[in-house]
Amino acid sequence: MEHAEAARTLDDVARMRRRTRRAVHPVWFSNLVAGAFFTGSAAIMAVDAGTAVALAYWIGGGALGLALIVAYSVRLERELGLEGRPADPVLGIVAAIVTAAVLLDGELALLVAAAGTLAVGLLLRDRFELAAGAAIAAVAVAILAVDPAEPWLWGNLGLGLSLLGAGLAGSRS
Amino acid sequence: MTHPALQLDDTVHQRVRLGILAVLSEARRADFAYLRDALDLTDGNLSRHIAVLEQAGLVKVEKGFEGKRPRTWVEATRAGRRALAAEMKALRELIALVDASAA
Repeated sequence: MEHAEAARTLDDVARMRRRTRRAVHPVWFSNLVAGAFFTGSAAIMAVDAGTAVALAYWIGGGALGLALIVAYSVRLERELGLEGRPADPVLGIVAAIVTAAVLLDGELALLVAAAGTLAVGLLLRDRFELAAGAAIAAVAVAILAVDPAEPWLWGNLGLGLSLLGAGLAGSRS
Repeated sequence: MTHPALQLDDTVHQRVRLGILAVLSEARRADFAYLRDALDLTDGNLSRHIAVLEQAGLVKVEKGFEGKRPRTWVEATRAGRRALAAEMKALRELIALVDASAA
């Protein structure tokens, strides 16, 4: 077997694996839902709707968003005839981002979200996901540098808009 | 040390079968129709290659129904995933060997 043939075979396999990974992970949809959720949370903070409303939004909206993503994935798997792996690295990264967002402080959570989004982008070779990761990191750095009056509001708005942008761009590609 | 070219497994190395294992390595299981479309094959061609992989214990085939729709699911076995990884390793070693001898 020749060097060029071996290299081509490796490339073909890598391309096929990437295509399958992308088919089984419609990240654009998760980005749209998560983007809308975080943008909405920034709006709730901006109008100062109160703790009860904010809590209801985070619990109810979070559960609804998660249910939407799961339902879409299940429907897509059935339509495509392709089921994702239970122990999937992409799902692991997403779970780590959500955990960090709940447990960590504002800018730190944002930096973890940026790192996670970049990792998913690298794994799926998705340029919109990579762009979103870079945008989230830029928002975190800007908040650290400027130290605005309401860092949570700006953080969630930046996170939400970055994900929304990646979701919209991804849905059209 | 064995030459990397001798480590290539004929069952796995065939282009279509390598494609089937590549798809299955990223999924829990794939439907026959998905594999056929993703690899741009005919039903008969795909069936033959799946039979070869199944006989070698590299994939598992499960037939069933989803509502009224018949479905054939194909899943890589642990041996199948290992065989794909070994094939990739042998190919990388082969490339490294040629690069080293050319330098």
